[in-house]
Amino acid sequence: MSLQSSGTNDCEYEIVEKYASMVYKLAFARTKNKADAEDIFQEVFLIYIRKNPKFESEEHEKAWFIRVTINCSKDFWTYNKKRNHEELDENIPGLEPNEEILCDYLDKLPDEYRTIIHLFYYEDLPTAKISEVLKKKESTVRMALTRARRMLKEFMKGGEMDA
Amino acid sequence: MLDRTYKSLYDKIEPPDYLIVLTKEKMKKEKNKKHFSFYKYGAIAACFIIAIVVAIPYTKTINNVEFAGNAPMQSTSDSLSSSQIWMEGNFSGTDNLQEDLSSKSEASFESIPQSTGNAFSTNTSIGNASKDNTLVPSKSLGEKIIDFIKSIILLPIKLIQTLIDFFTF
Repeated sequence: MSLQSSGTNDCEYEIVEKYASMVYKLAFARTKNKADAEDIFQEVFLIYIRKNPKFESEEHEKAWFIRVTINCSKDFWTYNKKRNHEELDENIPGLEPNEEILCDYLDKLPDEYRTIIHLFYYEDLPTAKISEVLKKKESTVRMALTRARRMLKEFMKGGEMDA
Repeated sequence: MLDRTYKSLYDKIEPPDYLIVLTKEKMKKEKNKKHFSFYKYGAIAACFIIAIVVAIPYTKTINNVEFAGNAPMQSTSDSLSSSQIWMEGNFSGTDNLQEDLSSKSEASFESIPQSTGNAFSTNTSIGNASKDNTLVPSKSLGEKIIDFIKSIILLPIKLIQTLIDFFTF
C-alpha cells in the first residue's frame, strides 16, 4: 500500500512522515518489540491529534514527540505488566554480527539507560537536552550514560564483540 | 565504535509503510470524532440555554399569578400587569412577602367593592376563591401546550432580549 493511498495530504499528516522514524525507533529502543512499538507509534500521533499542541520551534516539536513517546512506552509497559504480557523474540533482518550482539546487550540494559543511550547516540542530543526532555538533572543523565556505557563494556568483555 | 554500531543498527529499523498509512487513517477518524464531539457539546449547551430561556417566562408567570390571586384587580385581562404594579408599590422586600401578602389582600378585599366579579386571573392554578366563592379555573392541558408552543416561537426574540439586557447592564 502506498503512502498516497490514505488520501490525507493535510500538513497535520505530514508530521507523521516527519517524525515517523524517530518515534518508531525510540519506541522500539524502549520496548524491544515491534508490535508494541507499532502500538506506541499510533498512540503518539493520536495524542498529537487529540491535544493539537502549538509549538514554538522545531526543537520544541521534536522534544514534545520524544517526551510523549517515552510516556506512552511507560504507560504501555505498565499496562502489559498488569496483563503479564510475554515478550516476543524480535529478529531484525539484515543485521551484521556486531549489530546482533549489540542488540542482545542492549536488551539487558534497563529501559531508562536504553532511552538515554538512544537519545545520545542516535538522536545526537546533548546531555543537557536529554535532561530537559526527560525532566531529570543533567548530572543524573550523565551518570546514567556512564553506567550504561560501563555495563555495555562489561558485556562486551565477556562476549564476542570486538570493541 | 559503540556509536557507529548503534547508528547502523537503528538505521535498519524503520516503521513499515502500512503502519504510517494506518496511523494517518486513525488520525483522520480521530479528527472527525473530535469535530463531532464539538458539535455534540455545542448542541447540549444550546439545548440547555433553550431550556433556561423557556423556563424563565414560566417562572415569572407563577410569581405573578401568586400575587394576582390576592391582589385587587379591575379585570381579568390586566390581572398580571396590575398585580405587578400593585406588588411593586406595596412591597420592597421579599422576606415577609407571604405574610404581607395575606394581610394586604385581606385588607383589600374588605375595602374594595366586588363589582369586578371574577377579579382574579384565570391563569392561576392556586385555586383561590374569590368573594363570591367561585373557584378560579386552572389552565387546561391544551392551553398549556399552546403557551409552550408560543414560548418556543418567541424564544429567539427572548434570547436576543436576554442577551441585549445582559450586555447593556
